[in-house]
Amino acid sequence: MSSRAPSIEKIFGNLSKVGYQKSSEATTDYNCIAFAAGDVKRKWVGYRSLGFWPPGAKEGKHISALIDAFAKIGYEVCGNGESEAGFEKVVLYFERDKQEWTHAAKQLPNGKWTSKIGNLEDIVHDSPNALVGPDRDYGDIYGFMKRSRSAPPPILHSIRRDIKPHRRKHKKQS
Amino acid sequence: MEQFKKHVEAWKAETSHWSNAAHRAEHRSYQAIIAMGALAIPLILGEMKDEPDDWFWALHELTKVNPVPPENRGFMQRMTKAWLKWGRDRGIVS
Repeated sequence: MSSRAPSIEKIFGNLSKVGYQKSSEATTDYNCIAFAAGDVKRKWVGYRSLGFWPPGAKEGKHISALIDAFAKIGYEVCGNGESEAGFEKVVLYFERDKQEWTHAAKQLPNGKWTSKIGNLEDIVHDSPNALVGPDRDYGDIYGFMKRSRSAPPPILHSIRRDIKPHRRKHKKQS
Repeated sequence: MEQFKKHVEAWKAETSHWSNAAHRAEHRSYQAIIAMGALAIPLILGEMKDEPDDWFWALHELTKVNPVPPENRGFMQRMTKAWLKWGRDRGIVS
């Protein structure tokens, strides 16, 4: 597998400057929010009638709905994206004008970040800023959330119980 | 049909990297497909057979039904299958 994703580089000009690697083939099976939450079988879309969204979490496009979704799986808002022993972090992106969520990425144990780019590939990027660029498709960084690596909350078990081990699929390119 | 294909191509080209499916559904090409009304339903179902994608918003908007059981929501293949069955049961898609 090539470590580059030219289609993604074209969209996010900062990526090649900041540094990144492709880490999967493209798939439509899951999206960035699901991926950041550890679910690689479903799309977390903000509305329970049209996809998955954590039970009890506020629905919608507003950034507060995304914060609530991550809160429901054990995350709490934190001040920065610095790597912290014993914690995993996510970074949330939003469209500032509309206050609507656009993307989320999760931090790896080595301090780098990993993202699922829409229906395209997963990538590992050195910094959350890699996806904030001239085209601003993901808008700006809203903030960070963290949870303990050692004690996933009960709801995460219920989310993961019905999903089988992940096998990445090759998506037919259009 | 040609118009539909054009809208699909533009929508995929311009939004495939977008993470928020609600934003993808607001794209002008997606909205143009919804504006085609009932004519778009068999075309969307045919498109889904070849390549599952975020068509559920349009189908729900056009049909006002949701044949996907709650436990299958979010699973692309299962959601696609449920909509294709819905279409087949009504003779809309083969």
